[in-house]
Amino acid sequence: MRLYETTFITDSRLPESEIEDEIKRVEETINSNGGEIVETQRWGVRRLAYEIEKQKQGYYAHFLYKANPEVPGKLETGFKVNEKIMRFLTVVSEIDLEERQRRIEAGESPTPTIEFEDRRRRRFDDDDDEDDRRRRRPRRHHDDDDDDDRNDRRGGRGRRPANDESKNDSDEDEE
Amino acid sequence: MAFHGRRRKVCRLCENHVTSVDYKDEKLLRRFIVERGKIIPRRVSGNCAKHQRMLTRAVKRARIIAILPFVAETYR
Repeated sequence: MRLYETTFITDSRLPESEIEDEIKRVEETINSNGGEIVETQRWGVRRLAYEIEKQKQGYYAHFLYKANPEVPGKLETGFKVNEKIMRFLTVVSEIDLEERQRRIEAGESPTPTIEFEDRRRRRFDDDDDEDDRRRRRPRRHHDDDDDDDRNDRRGGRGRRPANDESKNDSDEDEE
Repeated sequence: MAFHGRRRKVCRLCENHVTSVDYKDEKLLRRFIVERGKIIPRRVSGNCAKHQRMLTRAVKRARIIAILPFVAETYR
C-alpha cells in the first residue's frame, strides 16, 4: 500500500449534509477497497485563486490515506462523473508518517512550518545596494504605467505631467 | 547594465533545511511566485536546482486546486 493525498473542491453553496455525504462517499470508497484513512481534513470554505464554474469560493476536503494503487483511480472516476465536485487532485504523499506521528505526540503541528526571517518580498539580498535598486526599478516603472492609465483617462492622451514623462524615458533608456 | 557585481545568492530552502515542499503550504509558495502568478526563476531567487524542482512541482499542484493562480490580474 502507498500513502496518497486526495483533495476535492465542492460547491460551497451545497447544504452541509450533502457535503458530508461527499466526504463519506470518499471515505467509504477508500475503506471498502482495503485502504486505511489516516486523516480527513475539512478545510472548509476557501477563496479560490481563480474562478471555477463561476464560483469564487469552494469547500475543500482533504484526505490522507494508505491504499492500493487502484484506489485513487476509482476515486477519480467517481469525481469525474460527479457534478458536485468542482476540482480534485490526488498525489502520492511525501509525508513521512512516522515523523508526523512523532510531531503529533510532541504536540507540534503535523506539518513542519517553514519560517523565513522577515525580509521584504522579492528581495534576495541582505543589503540595499546598487543591484537591488537597479533590479527593482523597472518594476516600479510598470506600476507607474498602471497609474498613468488612470491619468490618461482623466486628462486625455499625451497630457502627462512633464517630469513624469522624463522619468519614464530615462527608465526606458536604461533597459 | 554596467555592473554585475552581485552578491552570491544562497538557496533559501537549503538555509532552512527543507526536505520537501508541500503544495498545500500557500504561504511558503507565495514567496516564490510573482504577483502575476509566475514562478520566480532560479537565476533570480538563487534557489538550488533540487529545491527549485520541488517548488515548481508544488506550485503546479497548488494551481490545480486553486490555491495559487495560473495567472493573476493584479491590476485592471
